[in-house]
Amino acid sequence: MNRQVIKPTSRAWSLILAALLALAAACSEPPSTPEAGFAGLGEASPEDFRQPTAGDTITLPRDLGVHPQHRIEWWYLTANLKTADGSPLGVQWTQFRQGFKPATRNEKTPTDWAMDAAWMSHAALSFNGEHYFSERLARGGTGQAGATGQPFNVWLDDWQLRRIDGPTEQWRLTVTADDWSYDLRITSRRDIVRHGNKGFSTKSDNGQGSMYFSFVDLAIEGNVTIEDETHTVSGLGWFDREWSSQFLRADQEGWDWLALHLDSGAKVMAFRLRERDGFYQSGTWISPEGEARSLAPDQLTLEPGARRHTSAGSVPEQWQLRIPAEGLDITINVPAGEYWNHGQFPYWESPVSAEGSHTGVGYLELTGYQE
Amino acid sequence: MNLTGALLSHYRRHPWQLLALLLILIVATALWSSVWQLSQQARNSFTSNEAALEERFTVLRTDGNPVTVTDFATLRRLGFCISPQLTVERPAPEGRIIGIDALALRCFGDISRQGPSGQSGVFVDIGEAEKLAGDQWPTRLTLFASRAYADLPPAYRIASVSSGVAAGQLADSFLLNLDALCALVLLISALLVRSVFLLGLAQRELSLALLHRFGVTPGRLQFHLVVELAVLSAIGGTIGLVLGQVLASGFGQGFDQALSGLYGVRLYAQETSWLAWLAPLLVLILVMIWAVADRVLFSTLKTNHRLLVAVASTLLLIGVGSILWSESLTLQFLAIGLTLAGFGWLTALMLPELLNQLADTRAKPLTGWSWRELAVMVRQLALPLVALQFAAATVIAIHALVATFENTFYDWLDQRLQGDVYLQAPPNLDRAAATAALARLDSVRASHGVIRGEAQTPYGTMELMAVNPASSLLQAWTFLASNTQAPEEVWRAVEAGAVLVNEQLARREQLTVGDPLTFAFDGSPQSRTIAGIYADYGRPAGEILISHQLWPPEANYSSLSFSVTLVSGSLQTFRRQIEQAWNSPGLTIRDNAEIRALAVAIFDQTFALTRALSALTLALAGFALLLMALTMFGARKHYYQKLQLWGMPEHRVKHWLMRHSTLLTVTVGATALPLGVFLTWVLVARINPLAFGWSLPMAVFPMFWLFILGLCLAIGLLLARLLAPQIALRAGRHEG
Amino acid sequence: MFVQDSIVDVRGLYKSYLDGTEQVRVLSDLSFSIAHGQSMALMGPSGSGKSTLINILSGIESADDGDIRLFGESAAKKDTDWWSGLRGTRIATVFQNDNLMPTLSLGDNIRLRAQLAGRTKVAVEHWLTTLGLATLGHRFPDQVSGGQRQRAAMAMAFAMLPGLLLADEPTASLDGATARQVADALFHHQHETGCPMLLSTHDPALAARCDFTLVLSSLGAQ
Repeated sequence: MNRQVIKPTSRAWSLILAALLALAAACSEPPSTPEAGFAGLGEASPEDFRQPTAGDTITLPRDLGVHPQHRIEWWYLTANLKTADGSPLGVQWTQFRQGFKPATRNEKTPTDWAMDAAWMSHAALSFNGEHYFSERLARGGTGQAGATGQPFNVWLDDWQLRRIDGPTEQWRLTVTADDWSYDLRITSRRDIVRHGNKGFSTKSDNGQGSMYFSFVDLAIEGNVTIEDETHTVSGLGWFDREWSSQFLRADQEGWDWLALHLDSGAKVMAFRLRERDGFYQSGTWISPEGEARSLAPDQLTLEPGARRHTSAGSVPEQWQLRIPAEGLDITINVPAGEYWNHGQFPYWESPVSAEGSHTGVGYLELTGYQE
Repeated sequence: MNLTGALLSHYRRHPWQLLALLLILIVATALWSSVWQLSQQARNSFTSNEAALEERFTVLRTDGNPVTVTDFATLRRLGFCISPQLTVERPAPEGRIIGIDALALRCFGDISRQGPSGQSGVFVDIGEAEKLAGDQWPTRLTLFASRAYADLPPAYRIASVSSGVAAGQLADSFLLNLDALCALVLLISALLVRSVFLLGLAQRELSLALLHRFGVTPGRLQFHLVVELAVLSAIGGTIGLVLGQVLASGFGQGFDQALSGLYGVRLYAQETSWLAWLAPLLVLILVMIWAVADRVLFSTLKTNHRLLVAVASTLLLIGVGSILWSESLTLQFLAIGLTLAGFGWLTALMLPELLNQLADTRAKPLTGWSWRELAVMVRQLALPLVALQFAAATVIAIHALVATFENTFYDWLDQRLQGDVYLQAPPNLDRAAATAALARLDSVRASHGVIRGEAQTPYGTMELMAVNPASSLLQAWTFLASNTQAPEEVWRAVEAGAVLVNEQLARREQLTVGDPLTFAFDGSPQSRTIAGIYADYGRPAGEILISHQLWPPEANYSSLSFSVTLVSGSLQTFRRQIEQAWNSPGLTIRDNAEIRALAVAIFDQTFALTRALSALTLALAGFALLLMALTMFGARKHYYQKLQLWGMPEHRVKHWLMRHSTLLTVTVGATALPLGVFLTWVLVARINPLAFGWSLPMAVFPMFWLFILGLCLAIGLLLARLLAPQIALRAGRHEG
Repeated sequence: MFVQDSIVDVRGLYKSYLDGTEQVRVLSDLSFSIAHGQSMALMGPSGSGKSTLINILSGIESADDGDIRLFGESAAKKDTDWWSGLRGTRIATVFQNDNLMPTLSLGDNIRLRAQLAGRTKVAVEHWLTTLGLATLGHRFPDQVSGGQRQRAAMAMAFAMLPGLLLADEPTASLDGATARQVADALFHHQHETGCPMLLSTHDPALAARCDFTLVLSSLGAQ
């Protein structure tokens, strides 16, 4: 995904920084601008961080852990589950990291409270037309939040995604929000898919990009509790791992991203970065046999259809995706309801269903539509 | 000419009256609004600081070790809502810094709404606080929990934070003092405005009656008069508020320092909203209308002298009774108000009676006339005179409080600032080795270490302080209570294992000398006898003092400092030697004389504000009295002229006038003395222990009373001088 | 040329006021004298200078020009103390109203006036009785009628045993019967003591009771 999160991140973090200043600096000197105010902690310019380039490779389990040389990264899980009675239930969990300063080797012994990075965790549930969202924030450097590749573990407070000891790739995700929680066991059934060029996913015509891989076929089961009612759930999941040092270009306004589990066993990921005049699009096709093929911008079309008017802005509720080479021509529909994640920055994250040449389920993420 | 014009024509005839009304409104508003503004800002800053720190539960390790960042992360990862706070103790003038983690505080509730923007102050990000502290200042990490978790892992336990007096309550009581002062100024200005306005009303009685006869309904007349006063209040009030703003920003600097010195809170200059302007203005207008309501709106109300005396006496009795019996600060202040009102009212009612009685027992008709004339003056000038009485009493009380506080505080400061320099040891220094190394230096004549930490007591967590009781630098201490007169015996008792407690703790928990005190320190419970109680001003926290021998060498401490007497007095040599001996460059070494000067400066500023305001109030009252008397005298000058007509030479008549005016102001000053002494007693013996936890010795300053009487005399003389031209007989003399 | 034995002797008296920018002359070349035992009425329209003359004779105002002799002594170049002494012990004044200290009883007013005149022993009861106020000595001025107040004012004047009585429209604010009583008292005292009296009035009947009358005309601007 390109979770173009990139863009959201830039906006998200500046909001977080502003919030930090408002909260933490209850009484300290106000900076002239929020960004400048963070100078003390994040003096490093983007140039000091490593930029992903074509030719960078992906190695597991290392790349499941934190990338201190890179500025931004995330761990992103979406799941299309069903309760025992067959009702669809969507789950999202994401953890973001933004570094303030790239780690250097011969740094003096780090102090206890210096903030080397900020962490943010999002968890959401979509069920019965209702959308639940919760957000956690933490300063880096204390151990309150972090990520390791070996053993695989990503956490912030007691929200945690970690590998269960054993021969198979099995994880456990636990999240507890105010009046809902989930505890999921996740089994990966296929090897990872490296998007783009061996994992380097281009995000614009001039070659900027991020490192991006996914676990596309996760079998998930577990319990979801909403307001004291516990549902046994099971279904399919998709896990993205992406890191970069670049935010969206100034002329990129937002993105539309989707990942689908087709009933044929095939999987597809497609994204579209909306630019001031036009857009940049790309995707990955994974055959039922597990063969992945990157889709060049001219090998797919992704078009928005009807719009839905919501409390925070109007969003496309219907999409047309065509991949002629695979004979794919499907309509993607958002179920009834509003799927805004109202955190430090709002974005849309909804489960979807597909029909047409193929059928299936998946997740749609839209940024830059809120008013 | 319409009705409004007809009514306002009065001020065209008496422009001075208009000016007097406006001046009183302006000066009074400027005074009370500036204090009010300062105390409001300070209150807001207390509130928001307190909101950020509203945690009342801390997490401690059961093994007694101090908590660390690892404990924080561990507990957070277990899902507990825990927030760190790193306190950096910097010596004055920088003061304490508190480092917080705003992200961790999010689970404590929606504090973002309370997050004020754009202030400067002592709250900083915890990383920043840590960086500022460096190796230079001791730090203390506290982990706050959002609630008293019962399910913490066994390695941790919840403790409730006990400072005995909540910071908010302490702040409130200090600000209550200021608010009371505002209220007093507002009350005094209401009295003054009432007097001027009623005078105008009396002078307009004929025109009002005429208008009434011309068919204007009393309702319309009342409406016009109320509107007139409201407009005047709005004009005077607005100018006064602007002046008050200027005053407030002028005082703000010193006040800010005083507050941060006392409570570790910074005052922040806030954008004043139009509401903040409108509110005091509305209060002013309402109070002013209230001040004249009985005359303007209920002019038919007839009052009975005896009934009034009874009401005033009842007010006075209730006031004094409440002061004696109530234990609430707010009630105490209300009671002061009642007492003042009752006393002032009784003075205004009884003084003329007394003077008339004097006149009845006079020997000569002229003396009789004199007493009666004086009685008339008192009756006519009752309001400004009572205002002057209040102001004088306030000045006397504030002076006594401040003077007493200064004396006591400076003595105490001298006692605590023994030695030439104060040395703060860097954290993580080996205590025994550091102490020994210091003692070995040839630039050191004597040194005296103070170890600070915390002890758990039945009354909550208290500061624990350990000293060497044999130190020569402690021998000057005086004790509020001990079994013996000789301080050295108290120190011998401490050496033998007894403890000392500060006055705050003793008062709060009703501890006396000889009582046992149990506390846990470094994991071991102790029960020791209290050998003495010492004064500890300016801070509300309870404190226990023990011998340094009771502090195990390996036990943790939060701060280690030394008072050092130097051989040569050469600070530079000492600095070089100690930095070498401790292998810590850049040590904080402070000149005690400098600390004393700073402490003195801070407290001086605190009380300069109070003094300035009370003095300005007195000036306002004096000024108003002069204005009023000048106007009122128009109706009395006739009788002084009559004396001249009957052959008394002008200089003798002027002499009588002077006798009257000085007798008037000095008598009022004299009646202010008992009131002032009573106020002093209330502040020292009732308010201060309730507000601060410690009391001050009650002192009276007869020389200052003389000074106040002298001021009253001066006001009287000035008054006579201002009135004298009015009594001259018409035209000049016969030149033949 | 001064008349021997006269208590008041006025020659060539001038007085003008500045009214705005206009000089208004009220007395012009006025001459008269009053001897012991004589009474003189002063008549004329309002603004003709009646009160001004009385004020000049009691030292409250000064003349522009002219000579005044009182009790045989020239008033020229005399200071205010001389005038105060005269008003205190020898010249009694009674005005239309407001002659009393409102804070003192009628008796005390009389005592005060006598004290200021240096009369240590004063027969207060006698003067009260003489003027028909025998039972009112303890009353305050606002507790008696206007006529009683004027009689008390005369009691005060008589009690100082004056050498000259100046009365400025003493009955003007009283009704006819009361005015007559007051006038009776004045003339009775004058006959008894021979104290010369200058009395300004609008009432021709009252003027007719005097030995002679001086009529001032309104001069207006000159």
